[in-house]
Amino acid sequence: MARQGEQIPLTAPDVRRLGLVMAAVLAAVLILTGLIVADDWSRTGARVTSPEREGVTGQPTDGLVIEQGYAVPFAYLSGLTFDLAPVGGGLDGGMTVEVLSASGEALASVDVSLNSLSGNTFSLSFEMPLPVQGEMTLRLTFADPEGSGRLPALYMGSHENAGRVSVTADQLDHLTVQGTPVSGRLCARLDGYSPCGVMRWYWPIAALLTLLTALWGYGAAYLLERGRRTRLLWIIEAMRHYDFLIRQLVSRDFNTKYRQSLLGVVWSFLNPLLTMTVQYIVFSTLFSTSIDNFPVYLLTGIVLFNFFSEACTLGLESIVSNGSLINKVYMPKYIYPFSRTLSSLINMLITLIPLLMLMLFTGTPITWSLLLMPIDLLLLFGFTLGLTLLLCTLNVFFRDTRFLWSVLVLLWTYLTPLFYPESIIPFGLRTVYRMNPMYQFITFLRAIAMEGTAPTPANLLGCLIASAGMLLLGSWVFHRHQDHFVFHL
Amino acid sequence: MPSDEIMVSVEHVSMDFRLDPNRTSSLKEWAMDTLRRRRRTAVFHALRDVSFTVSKGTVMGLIGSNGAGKSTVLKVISGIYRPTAGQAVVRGSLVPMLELGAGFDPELSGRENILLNGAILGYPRDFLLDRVEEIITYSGLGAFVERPLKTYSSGMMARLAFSVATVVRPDILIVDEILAVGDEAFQRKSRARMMEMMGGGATVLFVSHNLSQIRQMCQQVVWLDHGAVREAGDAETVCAHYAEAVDSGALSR
Repeated sequence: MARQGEQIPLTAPDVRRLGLVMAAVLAAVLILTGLIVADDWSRTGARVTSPEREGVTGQPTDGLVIEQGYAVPFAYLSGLTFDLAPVGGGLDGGMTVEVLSASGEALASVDVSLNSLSGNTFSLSFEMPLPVQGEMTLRLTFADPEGSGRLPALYMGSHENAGRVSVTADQLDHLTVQGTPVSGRLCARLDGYSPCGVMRWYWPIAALLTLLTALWGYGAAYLLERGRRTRLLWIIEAMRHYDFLIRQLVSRDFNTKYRQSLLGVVWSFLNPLLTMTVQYIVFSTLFSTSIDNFPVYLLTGIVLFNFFSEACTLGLESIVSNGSLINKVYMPKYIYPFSRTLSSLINMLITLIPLLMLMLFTGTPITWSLLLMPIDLLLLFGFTLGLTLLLCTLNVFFRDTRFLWSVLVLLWTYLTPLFYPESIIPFGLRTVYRMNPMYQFITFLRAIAMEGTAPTPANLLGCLIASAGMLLLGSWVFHRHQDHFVFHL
Repeated sequence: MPSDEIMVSVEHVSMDFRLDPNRTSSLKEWAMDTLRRRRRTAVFHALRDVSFTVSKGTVMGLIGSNGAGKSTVLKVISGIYRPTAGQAVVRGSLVPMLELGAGFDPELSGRENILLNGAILGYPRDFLLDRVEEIITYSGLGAFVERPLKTYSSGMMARLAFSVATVVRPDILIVDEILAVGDEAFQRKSRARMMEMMGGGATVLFVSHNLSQIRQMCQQVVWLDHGAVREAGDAETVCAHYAEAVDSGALSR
């Protein structure tokens, strides 16, 4: 139906051009993303770390052999780090570091002069990563050690024979000293990776998506010439047509939110920072030792989860509270939940500024991976919009939805690792635990902001599925029931 | 002046409302009702197979007693209700003047509300921005326009709403009673403006209980009775029959 102020509808050539522009934009985004994730996705990195040393020191003797067997979660070993600075004087002589494969074949052998060991750690990295294929042994052999220096804790474990190497056979481990099994582990960190085939698929899929987008333009134009509109075209035209109204509704949300407050928009800055401070004070003794960069860990979770819960809680009422308007003026009803979610999104974008400031303040490295943030936010927006559509539909028919939701969102807060580390979740429950979409979106942000790496392919896929799935479900339910809204308002 | 071009065409429109005797609005009640298999609905036929057309430049009046379905027809034409059967086809831009000040927000200033209300009524951005000063001048609010709406008297709010609603010259105008708002001076001004809009060549759908006004303004009249078209045609004739029916008490329910 024609309405006041309708713009000139898109013509078939417009739609073809639109499809090409969209394909070009998509291609640019996919290429940029591909370049950023290529390194991280061509291999799956893994690290084996032993607990920190516990002050056990020993003076090595000539011919001492220490062996540690490992089952490692990677195929290639790329580096080793020991905790080996001598204490109590100098130490001369040599040490041979050997990496043996599962069959006992020596993959690498490096001679190290003991007097070169200084600083806290000693690292080796292999130009040609060693093909350990999941199982390896590390062998340290000492030759002619001289001097009063002692090497700190080569391993962890009970030490009935302090000063020498301790030998207890009560708990057989992979660690052996002079061929005798000892409990404990060598204080070493192993870095390795397994090759990952995801990137082989990435470029073909990216090319296919771009092609499909361009083809959509031609397909939609073909249908348009025959008087039919595809659903996506309908959405684009509605966005174009109601652009001004959406802007007005968003600016109303914004103005009424801050109109009567003294600090105005500064609250958007302060609120997440204050929440973070409170949580930091409350939980730092509990969790901060097991989480690196705890303040940023907290704030990433707070920013995303606050957006999600605020948008859903306010969006839930968007149809009911605009009931009188829906009864008096025609406009697509999608506009109400959409503009409401958009308002919350803009509010969230403002809270990213304190997050960035905190990252700079805490010295978190800023990497190219951070450029992937819009993808995370867009997917989270889709998920949130989908859930909002579902909730506001439900709320029209059942007004107690809001009470149910307030309980649900509280439960959801605790089910998401906002202020505790994921490691407190029992191992067997992790798979189920990770099905929480908010877990996926927050893990994505933490990977790019805290680790400086791309999200894992599984993580990105999780976000995509959650976003698309919820958006489809929400709009389907909304679409099915929107004509009945007027009878229940 | 009336031509053959049809602007609004109402085709076999029926509209049913489900009247749920114990309409559930809570999830708990719904669950209980479903468990007890106690779900009954009564259906109220607000419109039954209503058809008529309005050609370009015609002022079409809708008459009938309360509950006859006049407002429902207007809402179907405006797109607010989707009919149960049939369809309403509209050609050209349409402004429904069913309620003034739709979406007014008390926290915002008068000027901000002009933009918000105009956007809700579907005015294009550039058109509205060009007309803001004209709207303010017409409303006579002066410096008050920068103050929040909650500081307005109800008369001032109505004046602002009227000024926004009538700034457009739509192809099709839907009017539910002629609105005259504000103080005596503004009432005269607004009544004159309504008459001017309705007489200015637009296609108008006009609902009123004032028969003399209908006779004066309309060329065509549709008489609705219990959701069905009782009579449609020339204004004088239909109004005369309607007045007869009312006088004889045949319409008392």
